[in-house]
Amino acid sequence: MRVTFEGVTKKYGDFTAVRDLSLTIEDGALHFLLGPSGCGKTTTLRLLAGLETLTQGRILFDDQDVTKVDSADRGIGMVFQNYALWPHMTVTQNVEYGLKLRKLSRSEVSDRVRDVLGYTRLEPFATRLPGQLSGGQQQRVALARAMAIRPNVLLLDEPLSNLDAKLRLEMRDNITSIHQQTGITTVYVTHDQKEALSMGTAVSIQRAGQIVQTDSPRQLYWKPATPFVAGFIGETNLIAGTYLGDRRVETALGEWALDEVGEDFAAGDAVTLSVRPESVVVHLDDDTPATTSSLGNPVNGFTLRLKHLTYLGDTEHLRLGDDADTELKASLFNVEAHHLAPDDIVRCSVRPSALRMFQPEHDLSSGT
Amino acid sequence: MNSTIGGAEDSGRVNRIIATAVGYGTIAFTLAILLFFLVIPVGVIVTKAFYNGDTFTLAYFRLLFANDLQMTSIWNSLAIGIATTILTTLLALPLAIVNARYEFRGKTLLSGLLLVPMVMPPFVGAIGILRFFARHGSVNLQFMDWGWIDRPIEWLGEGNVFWAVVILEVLHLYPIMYLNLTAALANIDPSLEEMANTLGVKRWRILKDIVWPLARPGYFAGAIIVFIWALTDLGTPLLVGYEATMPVRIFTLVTDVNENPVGFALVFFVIVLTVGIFLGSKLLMGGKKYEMMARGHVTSGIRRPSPLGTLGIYLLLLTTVVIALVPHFSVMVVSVGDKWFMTPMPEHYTIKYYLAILETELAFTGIRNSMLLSTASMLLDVVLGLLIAYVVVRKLIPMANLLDSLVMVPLALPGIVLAFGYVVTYTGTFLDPLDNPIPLLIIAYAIRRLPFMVRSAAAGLQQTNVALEEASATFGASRFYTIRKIIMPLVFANLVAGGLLCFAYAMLDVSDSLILAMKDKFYPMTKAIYALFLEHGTGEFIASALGMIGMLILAACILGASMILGKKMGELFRSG
Repeated sequence: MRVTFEGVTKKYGDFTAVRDLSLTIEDGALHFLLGPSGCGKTTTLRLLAGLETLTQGRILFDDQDVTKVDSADRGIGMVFQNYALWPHMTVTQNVEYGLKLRKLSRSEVSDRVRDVLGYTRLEPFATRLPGQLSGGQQQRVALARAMAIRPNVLLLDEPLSNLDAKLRLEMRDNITSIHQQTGITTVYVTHDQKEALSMGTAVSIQRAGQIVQTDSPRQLYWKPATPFVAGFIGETNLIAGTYLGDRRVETALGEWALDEVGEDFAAGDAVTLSVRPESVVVHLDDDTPATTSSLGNPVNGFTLRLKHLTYLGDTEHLRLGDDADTELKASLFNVEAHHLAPDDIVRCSVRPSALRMFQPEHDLSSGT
Repeated sequence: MNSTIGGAEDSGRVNRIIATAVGYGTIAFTLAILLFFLVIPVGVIVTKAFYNGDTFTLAYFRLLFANDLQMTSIWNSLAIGIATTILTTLLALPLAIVNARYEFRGKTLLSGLLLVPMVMPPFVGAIGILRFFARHGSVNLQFMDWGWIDRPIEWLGEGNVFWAVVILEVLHLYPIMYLNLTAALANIDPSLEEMANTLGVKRWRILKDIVWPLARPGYFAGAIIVFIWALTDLGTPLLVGYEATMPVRIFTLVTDVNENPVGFALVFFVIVLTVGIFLGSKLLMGGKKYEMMARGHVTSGIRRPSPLGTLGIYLLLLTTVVIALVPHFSVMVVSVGDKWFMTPMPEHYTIKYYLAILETELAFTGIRNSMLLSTASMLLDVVLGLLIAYVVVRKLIPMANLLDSLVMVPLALPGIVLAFGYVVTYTGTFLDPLDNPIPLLIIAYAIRRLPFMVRSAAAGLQQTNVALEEASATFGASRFYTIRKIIMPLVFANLVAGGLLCFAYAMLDVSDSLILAMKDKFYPMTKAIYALFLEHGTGEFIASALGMIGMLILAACILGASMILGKKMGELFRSG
């Protein structure tokens, strides 16, 4: 089932939760809505579920307009953030509730219940009440209950946010494998970028009620469309500068060369550069030559003071530069020992292909 | 994919439409009931108080204010209300502190016993009290036997009848204050006090600066109920023979209201008074409800008293219970006394008055009528209460809060006013209480207790996450299927408890029963007790036996509700 949002707006009084949002969720996708809290992603999901009514726009399931279709008739399965398990019903009763409403035969109901309890590994707990289950088990019941009706679309609203870190990893694999088995179009709301990057077939970044970018996880990370996306997905250095033309940018740190720039830039434009900390190569050995540009001049190579160093085991985070304007974050991986100490002068460089250039955004915070 | 859009089958959709229609029909029905049996009767009173035929007039009010008896009765009733409120506070405060702060052996039993006085309307207790404290009653005779006094003391003489009413009211109403204060105190995070303790704040300053401000909204909410109930209780002053009180005046005026329209003015005045006080207190206190932050350990505020303290607590609780049960005890003695003449206690005991209930038409039909009427009104309350609470808590209609306020009006509106309104509105219609008061009695009972039911159901609904319903809706369940399958089971305890209270208070109802039931065969139990009491001969004894039967039924109900709701019970008896 393909789901399409066309110019959808949702207002609560004066507050606009979702603003002119258009989005296509492909059939069979595991599509993530990712954004900071308050960005409207849960509202978007609830609009899709039919739990909220649209102020403007329409929602299509394949080619059918479901904007005015009751939640009950959309054939969706939803997993709520707090699971919303009915505390007075056993696991089996919770799961078969939706099936009974569909007037399926008794044998069909019990077949489906057995089936879904099987692949969510809940058979041993079939007769327990939700209160007698652990958090992870409750989460699986919520998933089983939504899956039992074989929904057109499965909706997950921050399904793992109430679990501890270890269980969360386990449940990620669980959901991914269930999705692969069933191929049900799934929309997954989260603020956890690791969930989105590791599981999603497509990820939409949402901000202030609008979709900023929809792409595959890899594209999002390496080809962010805006400084906000670059900053929201992973860590990045955002550096203000002026475009010199010919794929070169002047900044307080020095001059940068890029492999490619968009077409909308003219010399003299104010721009923002984004570079991931792990793309900043720190030259621990003084002999390594700096990267050279096609003209043969050393570009994207800088000599900076080491301000601060944080050791994290597998990585080390370095902050280089003298003040906020010239600060550059860099990461070191897999280095057993080095001689760097604060106030040392460090040489570093960046591949031109690792740089992205944007129109500057006025508000670089992850604003809501 | 197996689900089509419109996953539930078509027959399911038809069912949903029907269920929705039924649901909204019920809401419309609820609103109609409130309109016809709350808004219109009050409207009629207001109109008639100001209009002589079609002409606007203030003459009735001039007559009212010029009449010494009416004015005296207003002042007397206000004094009864104020004195009762103050005394219940003084009595209930230590009890509430003990209950909220201390843990001791037998606490559950003793706390339960404290509620027992609620099981009898004070006017039934008055029967026993009259017998005990009459000129030649048990107390005087006993004192003369012991030689403490030479001549009988006029316990219930002209000047003392006021205090007799107040004491009966206090003994009946203190449990409401006690429940409210306990709930208010138990709701205060103990760590707030502990914090003040660590800062070295003195005990009384903690009470003054921390405990009192936080408990105050709960206290006032309960105090208003106590005040209004004491102010407008009809049975007690009527039985004690305290004629110069507002409710007794209204009761007298209702019979000849067509000749004497001052009754409208008086009832209007009472409405303004009670509703004004009610709203006034809500306005004063409304903005000052504090949201408790997350609570620490609930148990950390509960202390074990020292052995001496335990003894003190037992003494306090037992004394209170014993004194509060004097009216009940006296009624019981009257009900089993035989050949009781000029002796402190009966010389013989008998159960013949209990057997007589079966043979006395009035008594037997009274019990039967009350059981039927109370059951019917309770069922009406449960259905209406759940629906209204649901609509209000989930804000399903615009201005849901207005509906909530409307339902809470009966808390402020004395039963006597409502009954008066029914008589003047529906006399001469097919609902004429003279022909058959049953529909009006059921509705009057139900509307007066609806606030308890709505509170009780709303308390349950507020703890039920709305996502539980949304989950059901996504599977294709209609709202009313969801209410039946998901909501009802989850708030069942609240419905049972609320229903028990509605039943109990309908059984106890005095003003509606006395005013609306005009023929013997329609008398509810309370009116039967009153009628029997007025009869000469054995009437007084049968009335007492009847009172005892009612007491047992109610004790079972209130005990049940209190066991189901625990400390939350206090939150039902408050105005906001």
